[in-house]
Amino acid sequence: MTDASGLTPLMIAGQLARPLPLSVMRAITAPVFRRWIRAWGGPLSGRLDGQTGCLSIRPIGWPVSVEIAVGGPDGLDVFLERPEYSLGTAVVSAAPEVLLDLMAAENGPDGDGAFFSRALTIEGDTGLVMAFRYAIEDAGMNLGALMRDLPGPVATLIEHLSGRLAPLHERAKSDLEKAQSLLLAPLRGDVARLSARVTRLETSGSGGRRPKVVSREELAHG
Amino acid sequence: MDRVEIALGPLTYNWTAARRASFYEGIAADPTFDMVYMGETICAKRQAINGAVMAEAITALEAAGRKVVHSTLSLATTDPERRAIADLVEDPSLTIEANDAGALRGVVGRPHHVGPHINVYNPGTLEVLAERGAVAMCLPWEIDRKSLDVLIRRGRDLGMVMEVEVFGKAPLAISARCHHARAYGMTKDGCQYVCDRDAEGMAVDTVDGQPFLTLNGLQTQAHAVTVLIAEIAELVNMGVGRLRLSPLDLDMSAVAAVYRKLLDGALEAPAAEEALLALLGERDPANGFYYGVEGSTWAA
Amino acid sequence: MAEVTPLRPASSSDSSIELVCPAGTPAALTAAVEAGADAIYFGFRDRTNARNFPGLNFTEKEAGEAVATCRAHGVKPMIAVNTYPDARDDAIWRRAVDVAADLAVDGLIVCDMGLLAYAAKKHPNLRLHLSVQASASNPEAVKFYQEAFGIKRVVLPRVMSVSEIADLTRAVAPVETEVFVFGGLCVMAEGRCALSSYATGLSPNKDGVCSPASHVRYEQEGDVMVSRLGAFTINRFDAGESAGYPTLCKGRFASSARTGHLFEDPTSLDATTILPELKAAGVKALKVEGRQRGKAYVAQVVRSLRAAIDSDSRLADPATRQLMEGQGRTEGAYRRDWR
Repeated sequence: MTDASGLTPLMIAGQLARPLPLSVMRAITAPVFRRWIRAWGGPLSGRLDGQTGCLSIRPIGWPVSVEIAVGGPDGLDVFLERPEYSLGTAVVSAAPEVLLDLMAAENGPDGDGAFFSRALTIEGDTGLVMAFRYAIEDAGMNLGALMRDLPGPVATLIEHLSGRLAPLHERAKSDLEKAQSLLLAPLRGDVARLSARVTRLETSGSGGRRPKVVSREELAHG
Repeated sequence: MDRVEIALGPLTYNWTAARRASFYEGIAADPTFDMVYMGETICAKRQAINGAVMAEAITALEAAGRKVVHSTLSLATTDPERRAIADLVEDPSLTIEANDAGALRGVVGRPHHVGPHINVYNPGTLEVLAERGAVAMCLPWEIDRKSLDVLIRRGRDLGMVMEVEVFGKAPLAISARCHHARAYGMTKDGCQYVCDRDAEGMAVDTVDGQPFLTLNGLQTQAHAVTVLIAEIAELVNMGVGRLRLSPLDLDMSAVAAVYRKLLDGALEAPAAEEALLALLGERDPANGFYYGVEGSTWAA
Repeated sequence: MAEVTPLRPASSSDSSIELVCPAGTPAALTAAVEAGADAIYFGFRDRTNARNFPGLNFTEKEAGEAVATCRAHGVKPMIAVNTYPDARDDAIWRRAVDVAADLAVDGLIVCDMGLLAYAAKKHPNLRLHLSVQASASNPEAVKFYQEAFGIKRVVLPRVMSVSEIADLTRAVAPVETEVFVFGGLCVMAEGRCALSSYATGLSPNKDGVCSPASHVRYEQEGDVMVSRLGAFTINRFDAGESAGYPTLCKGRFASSARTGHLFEDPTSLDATTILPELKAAGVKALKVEGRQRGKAYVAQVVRSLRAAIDSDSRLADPATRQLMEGQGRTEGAYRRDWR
């Protein structure tokens, strides 16, 4: 039996993205990452000075992690990877909602609260994680700033879509809030349990394993 | 080269009066100890109950020809703690080892010792203290050999006898709160002197069962016993003037004898180390601080 | 540096108690200015200060800009050079003192006697504050530093009760006293702790690190999260249990008497409930710990304390409670029963 209850909406979205080949996902994201590196590599570099390694950001339930390589010959590098092939020397895991929330904060991510409440875990090089956190906070990097720094075509596309999708987004958001109040609250405090659920889900076979809770259509119209 | 002396550090544990009496009787009878540091450095409350027996021990030690130096508390905030320090520094007949800046103030301008609880990390500090009357100085436990080299040489140049802790459980922290009493569900004020239950402090392990620390009243010590023995030749070469042994619940005269024989060339370093490790029995040795790595490390 | 709005003219707080706030980055400094700090302390990006964390602190250039920002908004800049210089090479410590002197900061926070002597001699007009790392915990100790180096203020160790603070403040005048009111709680006498040094080889006194990130590891063992410092397990957190940074003295350990938080529960210092008592004790300045915390934290804590001080009230915004590690609070040694 497939049980997707207890997964957050974005975790379910991640599950839905599983069939996408990594090469496709990389092709979509590479221009965005290139742009971000150009915009933020400089401002981040001061506080990352002396750090070497790879920070792997893992939204739980997603088939890919965001890998941020620091201290290499070309400076900062950002790319997607399958978590099982990640060379991360430091790994930050949390439900995608938690990571988004952190990045959306106007003041930049302050992961202390999420970490204390166990909604976020850190493994590996703790020093790299700390340096990265101070670097993005001091550089003023957050979700809003990143969205403003999208490549022209992507930005145009999003702008175009967001105009059309705004009403849908509003409805989806209220549904998401409902879903979150039902699902998220008891879960935020426990990355280990969320991960375990995802693992069970992912290893429970392929046939008839579609999550049953919500579809995109349901989210939009529900 | 001058003769390197051997000193016995102040007793850090809360032994009973009887145990203290017999311990210091043995020290008084043993000329291997050139100097004996007396005085409560951890908790003023212990002093109240052991003052009499310690005073007798001091008299006996001096009568037997041991040079006695009076060590002061390492942390003093309350009135009784401050009084304990004042009582010592206000007696001009005593040689004082100051263990906090308050005690230092009380002995400024007269010859005194500086204890290992004063943060002496560099020649600048050493000069400040020498200017104010320090004639001897026991360096902090966590100083590594490269820094010891600089400090010992500079201290000698300034005319001070430089002393190093070579044997004992390193003090790692001191608190206004008694964690020893707290472990038994008590507070410092109502401690019932529970620190007397453990002759060498109470073992603190990690939750995985790995030995780690030692609770000793207000003080937290290392689990492992610092043992510098293969390193003595190097220390002598730096110009160390005195080796200090911190009392454990074992035959301290036998420990001192090993160091004396090593210093006098009557014993080679490997044999001396073997003898000391045998005396330690089940206790783990460590010398990491000396080598500038984790203090818990034993570089064999 | 972002434009910020001054909340009050600088002179308004001169006669009252001073709120001294932490900044680990220029962004946090701006946040503290906006939130109503009277003074802000920070350090350089090396082991000359006691928060030598990766990515944290100020370059000399940033320090210059920070001082300018403070000046522009009537806030007093202070620089902490509060570790013990290396016996073999104290050049970076002397340099830090010289740079702070050139910037004419309102307070240089120092603990080492050698460095105090250097600063007092070379920069006689530089205002010296005795760092908490010097562990001066009685009037005689404070007077030693005052007589030897002319210190103007002492930051008191978090080991004293309010009545002891009141006595000391009276006894050491005109030396001012500054006490911690919020943030991490050092259970041990500061500047007297080598616990990290024993476990990691890096020392609070020499390297400016307590439980250094370079030696911290978190490992998941099923639902249990294990935190390690060097080779030692500091804590195990069951599923759903709130976690903490593996600060050695806040860990769980085993003894023959009991197993648990033998040194301190995972709580933070919150003396906002006794602000009136501290004021009555005559302390000149209230200090917030947390140069390693984010700017959102700094902004919220400083704003709450500003409001509490200005309204002479006892309780700060309870929202600050959520920002505390372990979400537990204690007045620490300020209440004698803590001991």
